[in-house]
Amino acid sequence: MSGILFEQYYRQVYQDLYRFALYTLGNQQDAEDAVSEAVTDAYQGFGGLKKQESFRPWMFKILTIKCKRKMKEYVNRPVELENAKAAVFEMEWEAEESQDVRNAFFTLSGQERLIVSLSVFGGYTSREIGKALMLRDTTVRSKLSRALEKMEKILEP
Amino acid sequence: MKQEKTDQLLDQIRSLAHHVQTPESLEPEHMMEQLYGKTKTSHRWKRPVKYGAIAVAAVLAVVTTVQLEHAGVAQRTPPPAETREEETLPSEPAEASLYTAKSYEEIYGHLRRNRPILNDYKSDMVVTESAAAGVDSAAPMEGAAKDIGFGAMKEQLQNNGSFSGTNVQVRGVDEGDVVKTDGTYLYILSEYTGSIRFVQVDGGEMKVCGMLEDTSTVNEARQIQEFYINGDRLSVIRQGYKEADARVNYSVDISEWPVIEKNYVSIPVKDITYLETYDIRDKEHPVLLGTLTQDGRYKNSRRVDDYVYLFTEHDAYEIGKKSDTASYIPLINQKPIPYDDIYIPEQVSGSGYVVITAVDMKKPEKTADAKAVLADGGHFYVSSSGIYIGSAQQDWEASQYDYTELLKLNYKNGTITFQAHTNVDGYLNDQFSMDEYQGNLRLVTTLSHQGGNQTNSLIVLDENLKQIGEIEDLAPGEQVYSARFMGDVGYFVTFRQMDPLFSVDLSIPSNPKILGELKITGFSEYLHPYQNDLLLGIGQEISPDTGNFKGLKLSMFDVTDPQDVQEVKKMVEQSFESSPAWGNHKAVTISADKNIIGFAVDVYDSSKRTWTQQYVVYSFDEKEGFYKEMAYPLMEGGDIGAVRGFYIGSWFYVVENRRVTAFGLGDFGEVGVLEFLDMP
Repeated sequence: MSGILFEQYYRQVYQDLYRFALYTLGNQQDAEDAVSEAVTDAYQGFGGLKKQESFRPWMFKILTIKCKRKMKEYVNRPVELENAKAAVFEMEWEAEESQDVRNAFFTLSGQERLIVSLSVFGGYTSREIGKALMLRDTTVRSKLSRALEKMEKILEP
Repeated sequence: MKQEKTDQLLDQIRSLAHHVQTPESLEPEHMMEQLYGKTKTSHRWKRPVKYGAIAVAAVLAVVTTVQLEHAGVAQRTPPPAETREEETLPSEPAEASLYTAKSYEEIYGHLRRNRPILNDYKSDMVVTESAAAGVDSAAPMEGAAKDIGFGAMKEQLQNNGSFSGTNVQVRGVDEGDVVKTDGTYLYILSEYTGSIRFVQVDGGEMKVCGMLEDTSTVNEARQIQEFYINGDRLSVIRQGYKEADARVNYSVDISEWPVIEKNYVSIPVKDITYLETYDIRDKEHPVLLGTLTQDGRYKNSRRVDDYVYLFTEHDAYEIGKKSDTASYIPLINQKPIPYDDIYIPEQVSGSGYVVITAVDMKKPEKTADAKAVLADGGHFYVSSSGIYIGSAQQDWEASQYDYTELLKLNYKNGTITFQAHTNVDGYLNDQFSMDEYQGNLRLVTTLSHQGGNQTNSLIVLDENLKQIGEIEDLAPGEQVYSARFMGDVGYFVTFRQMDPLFSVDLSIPSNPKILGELKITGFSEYLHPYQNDLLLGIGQEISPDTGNFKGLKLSMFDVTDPQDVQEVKKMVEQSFESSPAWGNHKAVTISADKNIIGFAVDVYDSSKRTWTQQYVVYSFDEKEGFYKEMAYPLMEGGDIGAVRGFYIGSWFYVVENRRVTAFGLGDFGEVGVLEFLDMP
């Protein structure tokens, strides 16, 4: 497969990749790095990918690993994570309602954000997320609904 | 929480993100630029590497002979005969039975424990033993007539019986490709990758005399990956897939858990690889003799004598009930592989199988052997008796985080047996990073350390993959770009700023020693033994001052004295921006006998700002150095990666997927051209 083909596929997913990383990591720079690293890895392995339909899930797989790795680093530097959240909030969004949703979203734990982001941006099923995170799919489902309930409580006190 | 509420909230999160501006650096244009600069892949040629400052490279030679006293060290103790579950084949080593699955339940248990986790993506490669080091793999196949069917034999002999085959790593171990020749016909994969054209060539006279048709069905495209020619037989590898069952499963999932955007649902498709073998005596009417249907994605293959060995990777993504063996055991010709033909290594990391089959091209109606290993596929290297599979793995928590999971299987006349399993530090560059010699396996790997540093290791393993020798911490900060083992000596190139060519003495396998290190500018992506003590390098020239790409570089190293390797001649083609030769040895035609070095290039004319593609042929003279014999413009819009050059008798053919051009070997004057206008 050629670089041109890779570019075509990449063009279809890159925005979702970035949104996913941003919402999972809550840090613009880290999200940018994670996507960039994932794409570099993917490009190297692209020859092994024979089917275009699998490009998207495959890309998200790689990015998930990158994000998990960065989240692992965050554990050791909680202070920076606070700053990271702030960085996302700095972006200029107008609707007040979105602000609230965003605030609520970032009260979730790293794993919860990963699960929500994987389903929203990655389009994954609970079973697939389960595979990614080594959780049972029922666990993923309950974690997801718990995460959403948590957000709900914050949004409608 | 109510359904609508869930949907609403997820929609809100989704729409929130629509405001997010993607950073400029991730825009496809920027990203591709960055990738062309950065990537190091063995699947494709690549653009020049852009490096910070100074740029030069190294070639390293290592020596590796096996001494007999080392053989037999640390061998696995065979189990007492009475504990064996069943009689093994007389040819099967005792070790194999240790790894054989005892039941489907045992396999099921492993798969359950290792539910597919998403971090199992990996790089791919396959290697074949280059025991006969110093192989001129494009060497004239003078004796090739014995492999040729009777019909072709006569015509074949008229061409002096001399033609170039696919450039392979190990003599006698053929590798599949997209263009093949038997000295009389060229077999050319069509641009739509469903069919193969048969072109009869006789000097400048060429004609299409038949075609292998597409066997795709309405529900399944079957793209040709590679194929083999063996006398009057043709074996073609096609990639197909199956998706209907999976779709049903997933529709259930969607209703249960309505979070998914339907259009994004990824349906796990089961890949199926087909090996079809045809009788091609009558070129107008090829006759299908047999089809092997094998679960998994095509990874690689080899042909040794009449046997094709086919390697696929099969993921057991949708594991059903224990009794539903077809859901977790790979199928061969619609039947699950018997459990006692499935091997379980000491550690099982993923949830996939490497599936290995053998088919006799002379008796293709049945499968000679089918085995599977619970392991990942990766780089495949096949020696004259061994199949080595190395897959890159990572443990992100370790300070030195990458390693290669290695499998070794033995093969003989279509019978495949498991031999050993191990892990080594670092990752493999490509199949040439592995080499079997006198029973030992020599490897060069690049190790990644947390913090971004890299080092390289040379490792020697015995026949049971027990480590017997190692050199660590080679070329810190650099990575391996190419390697070639030639008997007792190994050469490898690492690069960051300079290109050191290292030579390693491997004559005592337990004690490999660095013999020499030659610093030159740029680096070689591919090393090929040329005539008498010469080693050819094809790679990139990099300015040592700026780190900028300066063009495609040909280097000739004199390796008469491995302790004092010299770059005797070099040539830099500034306008050559990239070449498939950098990433695919099969795209290169090299014959020291005919004094030919041929490959395709992307050419950039910086005055006119135009891009063209050419096929170039060089010759080499010890005094004059490299001389460009030919630069032939290729058709616009063609796939440069599929362009091949062949010599047959006293002619040279440049084969594109829509055209063949014939040249005289002496002066490289064009003597004939054949274009394919029909759409197959």
